[in-house]
Amino acid sequence: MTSISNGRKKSGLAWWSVAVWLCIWQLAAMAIGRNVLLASPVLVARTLFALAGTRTFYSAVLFSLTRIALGFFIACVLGLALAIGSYRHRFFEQLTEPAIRVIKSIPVASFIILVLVWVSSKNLSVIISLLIVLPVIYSNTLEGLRRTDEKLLEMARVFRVRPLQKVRYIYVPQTFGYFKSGCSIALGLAWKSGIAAEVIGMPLGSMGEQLYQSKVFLDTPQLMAWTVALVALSFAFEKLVMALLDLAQGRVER
Amino acid sequence: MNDIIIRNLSLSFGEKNVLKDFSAVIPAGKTTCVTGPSGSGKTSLTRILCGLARPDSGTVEGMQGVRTAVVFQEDRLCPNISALTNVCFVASVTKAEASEALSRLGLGQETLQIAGTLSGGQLRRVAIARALVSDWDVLVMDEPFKGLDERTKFSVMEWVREKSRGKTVILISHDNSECAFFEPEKTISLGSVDQ
Repeated sequence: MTSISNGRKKSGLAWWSVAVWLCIWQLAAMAIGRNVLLASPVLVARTLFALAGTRTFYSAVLFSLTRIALGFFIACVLGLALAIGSYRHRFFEQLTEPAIRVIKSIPVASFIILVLVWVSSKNLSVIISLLIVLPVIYSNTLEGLRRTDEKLLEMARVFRVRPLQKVRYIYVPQTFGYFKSGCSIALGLAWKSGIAAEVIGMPLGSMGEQLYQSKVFLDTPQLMAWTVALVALSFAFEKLVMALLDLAQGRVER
Repeated sequence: MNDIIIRNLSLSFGEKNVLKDFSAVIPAGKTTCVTGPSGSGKTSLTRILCGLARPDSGTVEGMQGVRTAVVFQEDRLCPNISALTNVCFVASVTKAEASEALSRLGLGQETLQIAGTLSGGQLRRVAIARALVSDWDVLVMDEPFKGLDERTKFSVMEWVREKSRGKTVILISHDNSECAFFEPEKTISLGSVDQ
């Protein structure tokens, strides 16, 4: 298949632009002159380096990362299974659709408070990231399955292609892009909702708890340092998951 | 296998009658050509024979439990796997057999190329190889040689004739010379007296 280029390179992060925004941030911090209102990027970087030298930092990162990642992966498996079920059986879709719509519409804060009633705050971020990711993965995968080329499916039917081969050579290549795009959207949401859950639920030793403590003590440089760490972690996690998905796609289609 | 007996087939899309009370016998072990102008129901007839469409009324006898292979009007190949894999995964044949068939149709290095990067004529030949090397009792070909240049077309037609000798073949074509090449036992003209 050939692709048509529009003559512009794929947009990425322009480092000069990052530098400009850092300068603006620094100038704004200097103009305000109070770290409690806006800490300068230099101070935030210094605080982050100091944090990175402590055990608390790594245990908090591990705590939040494992739970958010777990929630994300369970949601992926569940979303895939539900999408396949809905694609194959109309009855199953009719049963699942209202639940997915309800999950989609309920505000994250309501979920967090509601789930806190049922489970301990320690595992709150697993459930919350799962609930936020699930509808995205479900909807995208189902859309991909529905858009599978009907002509190829007819061909497979006529030639009596084995179900596993059909999945490998027809369904996976045609649906994978939708699933991957769903993952890309959901990864950011998983982090945002997972950390929000930790800030509200305050599980001991989580990144969310550290954020909240920084706010309580009006330690803005630390609050911003944790935020920078979160952004970096979310970005790295997304890159890793996307690379693994690309690898998986290559292996399945080979 | 027995003759395929088509009785009083009717199919319509909305107001348009595609097939109306169509009956015919397709002899087993022979080649039957189906001709007719565009819109006369040739493709609809093949879809019914292959079990991909249901007629509004009428019956088809002799197709139950029969292994069918089809060269569709479109190539219907998976675009992101190689030509060779396209043949192998459908036909359940060894790579060597598939490779031999493809090379017989003039595809050499291209067999390992991703199908999406092949030319129209090359894709056509892959689609023909896929149908011919699979296990089949009835071969249905819907405008199979469309898009092939004259020289390639002739060698492909020779190979198809050789591989399908003594078997039930339904060839749908606008081209009388293609039909004549296969020396059909019967020619069904759709959209005319037969219908």
